[in-house]
Amino acid sequence: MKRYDVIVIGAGPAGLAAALKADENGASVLLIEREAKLGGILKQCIHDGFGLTRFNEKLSGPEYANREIEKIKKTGVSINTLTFVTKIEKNDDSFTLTLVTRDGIASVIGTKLILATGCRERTSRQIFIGGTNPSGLMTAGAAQYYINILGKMPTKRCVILGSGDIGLIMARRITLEGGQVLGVYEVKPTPSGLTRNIVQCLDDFNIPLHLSHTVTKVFGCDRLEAVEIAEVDEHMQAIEESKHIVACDALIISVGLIPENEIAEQLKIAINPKTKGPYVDQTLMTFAPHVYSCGNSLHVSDLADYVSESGELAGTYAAKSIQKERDLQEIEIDSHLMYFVPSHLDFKSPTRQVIAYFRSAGEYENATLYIEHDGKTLFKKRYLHLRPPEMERIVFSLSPDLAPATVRVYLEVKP
Amino acid sequence: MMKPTFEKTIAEISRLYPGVRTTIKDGCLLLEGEMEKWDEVVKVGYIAAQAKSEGVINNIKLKGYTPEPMRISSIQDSEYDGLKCDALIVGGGIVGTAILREFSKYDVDACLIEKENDVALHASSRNDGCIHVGMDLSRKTKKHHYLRRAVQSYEQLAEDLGVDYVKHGQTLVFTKTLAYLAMPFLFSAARKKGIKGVRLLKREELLKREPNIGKEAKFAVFFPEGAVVSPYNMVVALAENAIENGGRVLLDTAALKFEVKDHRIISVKTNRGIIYPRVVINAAGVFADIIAGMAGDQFFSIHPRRGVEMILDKKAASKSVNSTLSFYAGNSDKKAHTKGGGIIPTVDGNTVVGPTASECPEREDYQTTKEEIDALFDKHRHTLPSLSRSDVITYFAGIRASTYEEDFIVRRGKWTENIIHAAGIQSPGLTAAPAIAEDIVKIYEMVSGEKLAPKKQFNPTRKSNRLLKELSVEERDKLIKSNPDYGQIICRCEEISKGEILDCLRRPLKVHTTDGIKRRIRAGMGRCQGGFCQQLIVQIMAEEQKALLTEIKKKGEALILLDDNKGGMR
Repeated sequence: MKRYDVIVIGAGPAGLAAALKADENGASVLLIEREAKLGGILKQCIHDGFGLTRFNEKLSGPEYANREIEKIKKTGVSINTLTFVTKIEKNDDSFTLTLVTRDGIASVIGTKLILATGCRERTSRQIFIGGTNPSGLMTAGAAQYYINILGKMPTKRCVILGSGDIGLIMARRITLEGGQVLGVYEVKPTPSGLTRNIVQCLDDFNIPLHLSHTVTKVFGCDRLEAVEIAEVDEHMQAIEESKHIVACDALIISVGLIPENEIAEQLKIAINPKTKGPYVDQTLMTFAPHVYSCGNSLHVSDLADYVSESGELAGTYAAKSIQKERDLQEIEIDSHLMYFVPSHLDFKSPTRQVIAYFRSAGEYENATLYIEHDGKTLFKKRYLHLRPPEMERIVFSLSPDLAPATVRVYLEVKP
Repeated sequence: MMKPTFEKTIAEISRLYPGVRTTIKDGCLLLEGEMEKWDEVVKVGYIAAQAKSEGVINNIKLKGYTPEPMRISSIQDSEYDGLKCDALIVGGGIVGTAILREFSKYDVDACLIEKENDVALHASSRNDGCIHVGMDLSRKTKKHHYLRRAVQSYEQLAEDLGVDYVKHGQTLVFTKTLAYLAMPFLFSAARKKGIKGVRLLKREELLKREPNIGKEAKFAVFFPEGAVVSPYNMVVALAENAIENGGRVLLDTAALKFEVKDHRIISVKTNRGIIYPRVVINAAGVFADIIAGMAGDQFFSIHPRRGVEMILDKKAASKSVNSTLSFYAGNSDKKAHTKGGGIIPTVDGNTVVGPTASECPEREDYQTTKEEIDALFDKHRHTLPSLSRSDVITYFAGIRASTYEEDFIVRRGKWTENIIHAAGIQSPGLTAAPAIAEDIVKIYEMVSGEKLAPKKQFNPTRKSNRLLKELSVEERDKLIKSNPDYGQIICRCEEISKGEILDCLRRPLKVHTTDGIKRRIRAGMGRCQGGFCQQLIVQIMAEEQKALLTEIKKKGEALILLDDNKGGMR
């Protein structure tokens, strides 16, 4: 049985970056991908805007992925595509993975594991839309695959539910391909996507964005024929009098992403309900020793650049860590924060620099973020504007003599 | 002579609903008129049924409502024009396919027509897959008779057909200690009904077996015969095995008109030509009364009863139940005409929660509503306190083909000589169907006056499409080495390979839609609901069936892809 220092599961931006860094730090690395090609979801993201921080350039998704793929080809990383991890078992000092491949069932052993399994889209059923379940009811990612990979139109006249980034990107894409987007409907009073996408994908194409509106019902037995739209009140309940029918041939759903952690769950790794990804420390190690999590399976990022960065962190630490014992302390967050990653700090770790990502729970102006340890402020940063859709990144450090204690993170919000 | 109960019932109806005209038609009660509310229309039907006539024909119209016509295929051709057969089965659900397979054991030319482009598209795929034990059924009913007969041999049938059958038992939970006093009666009733192995579970044992159920549970009765199958796989298997033994399944073919002369059916007009059968078997589900009417033999009415069920993620299995479980709800269930509903672990490891029950005039309206989903949560919150919206991966509606007598109809025609009805088959129809099919063949012999000779070469077994992931590593490895497509995973949630999808497309009953693949081998049935794999399945299907991507259908006649890209705005 082949044995590797580090096995990376998933070859999207996180997995590619993790494998590259683990290799760079001297580990023998196996990168496992279930699809035929590397790059993950980037393959179908042909719009630009990728790589502004990582490469200082505006790239398309495939271009961004290709830069990483070209790099990895020059390394000693072993790559298994069309390979599906069907089972993971924990041994005393390693993990045995059972793989399904076109050559048969294979097993490999890894000392450390990096989970870079990405995320999936919430479906129409998970938001309990009523009515029928016809053809034409699809997620934005599926529509994106049909149009960008297969070159086929799954719709000619659609409604988009959810103002998440993929939904916005698809509104523009469908319009460019001659389809008609009747409107983007968002149940919340504020958009879910990045401001730049609202401007570039909707405003520039005169596509209306209806805030505080949702789709309550889908019509059509075999093919979707219409949807029922309703305005919602402050409790997100549909207002009966506002209900009206919009005729269309598709409803494209962009209502959020869920980190894929089925493999983590097989290893009984604790999942943070706030992020739906594993709890991790500053080295992105989960509660299970030697298992790391990164990218969108750790928490859903808005930019591929951040996904790559967390992959790099996981790859670096997985390759370098020789540490045996941990002293995990929780990072407590206040109600103004939606989440904060890492969720824990390991005070025994030699890694004292912490790269953290957070989202605010609401829209705030002139807010100040404080990180406190034992009553003392470790870090403080002022933000002119914070919005939940825009993830923030900060770097702070822990001095070597810091006593293990709960760290508190809070936002001071001016009323 | 008018039976006194008829008189009493007619008087009661005219007192309560003066607008309704009730007449006696050859032993049946015929209701006519117009009413404002559908619930009232149904209520009158039930009152009429108290007279124990040969059947209630409820022709009362709902004011301002025109029923949707039966949905049929857009295909109009003469593919089957002039076709002759001995038995023509109308309807490709569990009952119709069980009958076709039963006929395929004999030297007889049996043909099944189904209006959809696949079998099991209505009630037979829209249920919870329970193999019931029949505790709630009176021994006087046909439901009980056929269920008990079928239960005995169901496991063997499932094995022959290569369909998973999981006998995890049925647990009826009581929340009142006082109910304990009724147990001797329950056990005696169970014995009389022929239900085997029934035993009491004291609270401690119950909670050990079912640790996740509500704390109000005091004790339970366990019925070890209770089981589950995949209902659509059962139907597909019956159809495939019948085809392999010479039966014919004509899809996209709807019975539109019957030519009846001197109480005999001469021909059946379909959208694909006129068929000349010796005998017609009516297994048309919610349309059974309409088919009977076309044949001049309507002595009963179907009143559609909707039910909604939810399916939970396999991941929720550890906080779910280990047997088909329900809380005893007293007599209220009987009034609601459901089997009480419950929490059911499926053969595939998911959990089904349901069903609701509501009367509706529509026979094919599968819309679900927020209210119905909320009702399911309300109903089962006590049974399974951990029930969570985030575990729901999908939900669906089904429509029961109920008669006002609330019992199965398995008999030859009343007025028309060469029709046999298998009608009003609602729950427990999935369980009872194989036994019903046996009787239908016997009735066929009576009607046709011909003793059927068993087919020597009949092969009861069918090659299973059991999933590769359930095989041992060695077996799976061997299969992949013989065909690498078995090693390429397409559906990540359910771990289904390309090879399995191709096999499914090459089976005896042609698959026309991606939903057809989903029902057969679960590709697209997991938590992402096909979000990742439908795109790949469309390509595999197009390649295998030498079709364009823009010709691949999801369900019915609905395409997935409408056109090529335009190449941008110019």
